[in-house]
Amino acid sequence: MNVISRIDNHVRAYLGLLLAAVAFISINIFSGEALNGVRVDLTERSLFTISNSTKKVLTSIDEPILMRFFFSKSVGESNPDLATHFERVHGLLKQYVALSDGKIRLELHQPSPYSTDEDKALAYGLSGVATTAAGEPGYFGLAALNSTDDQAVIPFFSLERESFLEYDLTKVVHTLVNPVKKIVGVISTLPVHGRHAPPYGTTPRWPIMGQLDTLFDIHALNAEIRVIPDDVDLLLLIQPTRLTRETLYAVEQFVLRGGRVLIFADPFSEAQSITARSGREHGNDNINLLLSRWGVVMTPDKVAADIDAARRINMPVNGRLQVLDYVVWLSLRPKHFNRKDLVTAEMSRINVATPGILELTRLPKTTVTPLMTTGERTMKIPVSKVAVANPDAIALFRDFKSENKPHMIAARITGNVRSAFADTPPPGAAPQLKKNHLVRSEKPIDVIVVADADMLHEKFWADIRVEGDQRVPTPFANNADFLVNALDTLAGGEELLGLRARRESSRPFELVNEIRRKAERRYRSKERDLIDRINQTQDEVDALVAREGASVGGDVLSTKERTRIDSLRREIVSMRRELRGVQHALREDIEQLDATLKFLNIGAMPILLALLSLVGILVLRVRRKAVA
Amino acid sequence: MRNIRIIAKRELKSYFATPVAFVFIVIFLALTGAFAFYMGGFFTRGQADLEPFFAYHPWLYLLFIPAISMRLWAEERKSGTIENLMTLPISTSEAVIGKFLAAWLFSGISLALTFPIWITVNVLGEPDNGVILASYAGSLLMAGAFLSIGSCLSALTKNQVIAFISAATVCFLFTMSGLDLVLNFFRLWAPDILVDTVASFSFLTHFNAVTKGVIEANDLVFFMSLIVFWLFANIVVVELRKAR
Repeated sequence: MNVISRIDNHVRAYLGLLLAAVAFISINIFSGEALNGVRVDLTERSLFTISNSTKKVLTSIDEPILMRFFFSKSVGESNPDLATHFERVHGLLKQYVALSDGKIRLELHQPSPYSTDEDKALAYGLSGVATTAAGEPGYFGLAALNSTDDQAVIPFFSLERESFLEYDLTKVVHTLVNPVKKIVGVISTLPVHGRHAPPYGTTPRWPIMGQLDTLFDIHALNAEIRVIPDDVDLLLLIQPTRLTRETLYAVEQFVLRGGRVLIFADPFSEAQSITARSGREHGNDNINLLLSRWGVVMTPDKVAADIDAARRINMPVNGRLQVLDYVVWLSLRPKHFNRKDLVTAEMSRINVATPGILELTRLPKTTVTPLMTTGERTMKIPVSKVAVANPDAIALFRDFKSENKPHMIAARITGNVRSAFADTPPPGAAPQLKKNHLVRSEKPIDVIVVADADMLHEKFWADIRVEGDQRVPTPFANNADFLVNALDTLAGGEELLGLRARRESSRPFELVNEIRRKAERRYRSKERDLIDRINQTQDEVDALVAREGASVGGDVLSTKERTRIDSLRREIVSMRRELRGVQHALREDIEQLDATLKFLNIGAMPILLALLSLVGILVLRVRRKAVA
Repeated sequence: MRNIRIIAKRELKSYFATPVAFVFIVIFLALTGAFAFYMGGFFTRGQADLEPFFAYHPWLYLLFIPAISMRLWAEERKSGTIENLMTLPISTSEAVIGKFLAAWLFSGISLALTFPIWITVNVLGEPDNGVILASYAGSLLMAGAFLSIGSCLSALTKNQVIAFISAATVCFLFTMSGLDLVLNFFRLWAPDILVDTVASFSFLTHFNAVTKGVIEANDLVFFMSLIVFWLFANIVVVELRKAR
């Protein structure tokens, strides 16, 4: 009896366990399917939730879109991180399908080597990655088509672009919904389109222009153009120095007719010195001719320096590479941006270099909205101090004196304006413009002016990786997003604005940087002092020693002079020691902080707990004695 | 319900009756801190987030959680107090759940006492505290999952050492289930969908996802269903042994 009931119990137990295991597995399979996308997003900027901008784009779809999603199993097997990424992308795409009200159809293809799926993937231009030791390619990309055979492709969902995932996917949809791109006419004195000029060498197209390609049709315009072509929807002026009066007139009349323009004008363009144009370009007086009628001027020959926003860079000083804060290269953060304007609302970081300063003029009744401003602790520095081959960054830092006034670096200008040419267009102007000369704007203008052109150069916003013949940028700042956003708002296509720049840029240890900066200020001036004194003293010694060496017979140095040499030498030794001490002190504060934190986090709690438990034990013992 | 609370309280009190609990917490805190600073390079990294802190939790739990779970049942069976427990007017389920909750609470307390590093990272910079909150939640869930496994295995043996080692091993398998080591075994005989499911059982995959700042329903369902399953198994095992 007992044996049977025991067996019975065991059998029941095992059956129960088996059922439980099956239930466990099924629940997880089920939730994997049904609950995909249900989540709680605790990140500060809701990085993992679908934004309203995407929802708007999805509802704006008018004709069906087919999305072919390619993922080779071998990719997931060789790299578990990509397998997780696949789940995320797949989940997001399914959400898009759900939100699109049936307008998006999703097909999942899993290409294995030599399959038709692989051929399809290659035809769309997807990039294969080697997955096995044999080097067989696996694919992880997306090709989307609309009913008019326009294509938008994501060649590979790389992990680096993980935080841009929603933006990339929505951009694909947006491109298919709005296949006709606005035409942007670019007048630039910087070689943004790339240059094939043998004397100067060939430089490639600037990566930032590549960021515009999916949204805009870029037309490079001659810098001496006399009339803006009719098909141009927007104008982009990059470093418009030395424009002729006729070109300025053409630009102005374009604006007065309601055309939108984005201007990047720089009092000193580092990019121009990088790309080695002959002659120095500075002085933007002629663009000021137009700007002043619109409400701002760029302060001539001055750049803005900001000690709090200064970027930390490696710079050669006295032949050695040193790390220091360069006060005219600014790394602007959210507090410097206008959070209410769509262009800058979501920006995390924009790097500018030797930016100019925009000042209001009192004349016209336009509305000037600042988009980017410096912090409070700023200083106006003459261009001459930075427009040299090796600017003295240390001196700029050391001699920095805050004027306690923030400066405007970028602004949006709206309102009605009058022509800078009053009733008389310049003589060489295009005849059709002269005939229809406008004295005042037909409707309120919408112009964005940025007092820096260097921010467009890739060294200020992305790391460039060369993949085959492509230069792939991985952004570390939102400069490109600013450019695209600005053009987008001027063009009127605002859906994608909320998506750009939602990426988290890095969150550095502000406290450590503060300590480092303070220590550096003390250290740099002391170092300069000591180095100067050491050099002076050394010169004195050299002079005295030279006299001794120069004399032949007779006129040997007196003992007084000899003792002087010795004491000077001793002085140098002690100053050198002091110098080393100062150099040590720089790191000391930070190392002290490190040690303190290590103690607090590793040792403090245990010690506290040990003390508490000792106290607890003693209290208990006392109580027990009291009872006894 | 009331019984569960009583048992849990009794169990938790017994933890602190000996200095073992303090020693455990002290070593846990010291190790999590040390790993974060020395192996994770928390300070030298210069980034205001606790990723180097949480990255080591799965591995530290492999060591610490079985140490808690091993004495849940093995000791009672060895010292015979399990008979005492079973004569009380409580059901097996209540006993199992009560003990589990006590152990989970204890690990929760240990985790909570790591708050100095949260303060530290906020003093040093501006971290995303939502992400940190999610990470703590994920760590607590994972501890619960480890505990449920360890508790069941501890009921299978009288010997605490065996309970410890077997718990550590099974938890290790679950942690690593996303990698080839485990999957290749399943690929030999199981259909694709099963292999995928096993891969999705990896603690690491779910934990890494949660520490990014998002708690997916999938992750919650995974951890909770796992805990429920192992607690059920635990109850079955204790019942079986009781019947003997």
